Amino acid sequence: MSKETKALDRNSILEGKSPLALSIARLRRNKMAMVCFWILVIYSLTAILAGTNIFGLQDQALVFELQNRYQSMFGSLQYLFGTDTFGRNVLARAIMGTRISLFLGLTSGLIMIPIAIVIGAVAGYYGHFLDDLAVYIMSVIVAIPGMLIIMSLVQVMGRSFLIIAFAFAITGWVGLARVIRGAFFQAREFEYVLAARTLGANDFRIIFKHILPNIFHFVIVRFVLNFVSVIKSEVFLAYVGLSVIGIPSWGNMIVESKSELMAGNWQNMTAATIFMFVFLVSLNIFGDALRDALDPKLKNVS
Amino acid sequence: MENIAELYNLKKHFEIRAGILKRVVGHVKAVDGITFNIPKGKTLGLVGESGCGKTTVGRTIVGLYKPTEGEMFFDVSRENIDRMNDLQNRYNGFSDIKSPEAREVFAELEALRKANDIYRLSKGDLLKKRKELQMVFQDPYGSLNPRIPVGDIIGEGLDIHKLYKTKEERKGIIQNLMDITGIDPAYINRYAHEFSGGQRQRIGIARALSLNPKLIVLDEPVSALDVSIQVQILELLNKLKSDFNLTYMFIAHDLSVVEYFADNVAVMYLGKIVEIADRDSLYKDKLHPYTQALISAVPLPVPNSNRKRIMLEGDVPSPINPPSGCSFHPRCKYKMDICTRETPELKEVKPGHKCACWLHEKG
Amino acid sequence: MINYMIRRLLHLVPIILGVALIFFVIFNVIGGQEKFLYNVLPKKSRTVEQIDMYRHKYGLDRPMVVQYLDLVRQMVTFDFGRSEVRKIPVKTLIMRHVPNSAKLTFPAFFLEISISLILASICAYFRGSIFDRTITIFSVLGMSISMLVLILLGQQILAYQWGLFPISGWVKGFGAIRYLILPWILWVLVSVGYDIRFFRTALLEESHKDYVRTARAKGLDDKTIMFRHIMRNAMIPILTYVVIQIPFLLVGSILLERFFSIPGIGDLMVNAVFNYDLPVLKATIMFFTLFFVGFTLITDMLYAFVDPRVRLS
Repeated sequence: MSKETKALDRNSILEGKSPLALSIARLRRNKMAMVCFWILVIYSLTAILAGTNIFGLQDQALVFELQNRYQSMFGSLQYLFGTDTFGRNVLARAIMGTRISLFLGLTSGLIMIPIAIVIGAVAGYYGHFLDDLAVYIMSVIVAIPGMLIIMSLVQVMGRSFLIIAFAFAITGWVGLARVIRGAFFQAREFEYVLAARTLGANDFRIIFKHILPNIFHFVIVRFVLNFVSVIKSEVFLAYVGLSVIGIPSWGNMIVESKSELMAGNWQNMTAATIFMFVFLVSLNIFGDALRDALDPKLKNVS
Repeated sequence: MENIAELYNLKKHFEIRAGILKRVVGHVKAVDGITFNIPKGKTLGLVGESGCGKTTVGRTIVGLYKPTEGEMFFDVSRENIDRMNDLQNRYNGFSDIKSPEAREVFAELEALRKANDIYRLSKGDLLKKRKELQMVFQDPYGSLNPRIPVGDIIGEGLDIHKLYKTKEERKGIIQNLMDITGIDPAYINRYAHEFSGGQRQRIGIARALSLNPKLIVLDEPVSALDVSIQVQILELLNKLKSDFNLTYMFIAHDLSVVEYFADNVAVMYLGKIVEIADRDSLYKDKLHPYTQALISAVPLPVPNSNRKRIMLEGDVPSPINPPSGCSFHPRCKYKMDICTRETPELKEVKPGHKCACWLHEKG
Repeated sequence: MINYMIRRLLHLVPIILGVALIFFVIFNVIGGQEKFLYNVLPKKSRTVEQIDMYRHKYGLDRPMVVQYLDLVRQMVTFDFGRSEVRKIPVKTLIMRHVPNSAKLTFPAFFLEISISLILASICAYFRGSIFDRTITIFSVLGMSISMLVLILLGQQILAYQWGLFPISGWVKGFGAIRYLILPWILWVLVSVGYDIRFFRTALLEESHKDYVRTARAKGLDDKTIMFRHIMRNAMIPILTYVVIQIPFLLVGSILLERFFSIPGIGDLMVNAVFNYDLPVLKATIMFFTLFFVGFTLITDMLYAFVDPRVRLS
């Protein structure tokens, strides 16, 4: 037993601290960021939970109970935010909205990131014609306000969940691809990349083993902050009537509340705003902390 | 003397593109036609100001850059070299180069060259040759990937060329390399940022050594280090050279280090070699005005010793538009009429001492 | 300089062709034309013959290449025909709506940028102070709130319940300012969060550079360093950022115009999306794109003006 502990100790001395481990340690020292991190975890669990009908969640969110209309807020925990004009539980609707928001952010991020990495890496690493082509495509997309493309695409292709996520991804990849392209362009001449090439490493190995891991922090931070822009854009889409149909989303709830406010019914507005605000604040703070913690520029300071 | 590598008329021009259509508007002539040999088992020093193309030469030799023009014969058997020289002489001897015999000789010569010129090898053959051509880089901080443990950095060449059968064998090879280069093998799982500059440079040397190379290009390997550590690294390199029968090409801008370390020295100016000789000959008998100026700029251990420092006037001209004739003429105090018009060739002035300068042109 | 301007203008040609291609693919290839035909036709006359007639009228039965070139021609000449919904030439419609949008967005954007630049400079100058920290916290909070929520709250509470501003409305001429004050305030509230954070970072990054240390070492006072050195050099990232914000003007103007009944171009565009008014939609898209591209052009000139290195490249 004691022998084992000793071996472990010796190991932990000799085991180097990778830059990633150092970054995570830095992040964990940031209390504010950790609070936000756990809030984000709770949101994620909520989103997963909202996929099941646990506690009759989906029934309460979707089924009309007209005798139960406009119950006031903060009366009970179950009806924390009261009920809406059709007697549906607003808390349950906000929870389901969490699911939509998170999954829109996740899906669009997962579509966008491979596109951005491939185009950015190819353009920056190979340069020449491929780079010219990529830069051209990017400057065309950037020349059009993103919302226009999103609105037109959703209008033409339909208001389904996947199409909305796809539309977000189509306009969202450009920013990340530009950053990746620039980073690859520089990294091509880094000495450790040249060293790998002298050893005989092929392009695949250089791109995925040597360059990408060193710029992956851009991707991660962008992935986190993508949620912010997607959630805000979803509200806008809901307003122009192009968000998901038939499912409560935060945007849909806020748009519905527009007609309710004058009559003093704040249920939808309050619930959606609180849910969204806490989530976005946490994302913004955590995203910032992540950027600072992962930034390799800080590493050599020690 | 046997040569590990022979370079003929090596050129590397980088294109400059501009405008919407990305037309080529000019070339940076980083390396503009150089010919030299690297003698086996020796250290060839390559010196010059920054921007003269010495790093480009090094990188072209190890195959990081594809040359615009030129040939390099690396580790070609004696027999093939002799055969090529013989064929070349016979071909030069023909009065009518269009005669069938001349064509036959030329065809055979061309076939031999193609088979041995490293820049014309097939991908697979090149990969094999590349193992024997390695490089140590200048920046001990930038040359090691910060996200990979040093054991894997050193072992990457082994992974690429699959030079081991078991994990244990791989670890053994890596730890042996660490031991040889003076790093504690216990640190195999540590990361680059946990080492000092000198130790990192040792890791870079271990990495270059991992593939059993025959020629290592050392690109200013000590210029980023403290002087005390410079000596340690140079001694390590010397020891490794004799232990593993290595040949070095040592790129530097510090002439005192070169004097200490190199057997032969080549001086580069604006993409061309202006003087090449063995060390003693070069330091004793500086033929080219540029070499004289360079050497006079080395600080002496004894100040006030009465040596005149030759000040070079003006800046290094642009390698995009090098001056006509001898590219050194705008800064040369011995400038003659011919210097502005015609480019001097690198010619043997004394046995084993070549220089490209009209001052030393016979006749 | 003129040479540089001509070169920049030539860069626009392929961009316009690309923009046309994107919307051609969305509307003419993926879909849209059928729905459009459906919408412009009254319910009674949706017969096969009628649809074919309209298809012919709009040239949708021609080969794809011809349709694409026609779109490019429309974009370049800015002649999109007549709105099928409103029965007026699109050009007139656009001309009528653009000034109203300009009245809303330009003062708002100007206010936004100047307020955030001032606040950010104070933050950077007194960094670490209570003021700095308060502003930083409020910027993160501001970044996390949806514009729609803010508009709803502003209109409901400030205008409806407290009666501080008219709820909505529009008149011609200068009287419109009455209706514009609340939208401007909301605009600034939504956008300063991002701006302040970015400007503050840009200024701080600049103030860590070597030349600032040199300036301090040679005895310049903080004010001179801030205004003479840091501000001037931070202008490049700040300008870039301002240009990047311009497409977002659209989102802001759409929401504000619709909520406060401002007959602007954003309002026009959303209606076009709803009604499938393809000619108007194309025209507004083209208008926004040209607007943005034109702005990029102006900034490039400004760059060349601010940073002499740009002119040479």
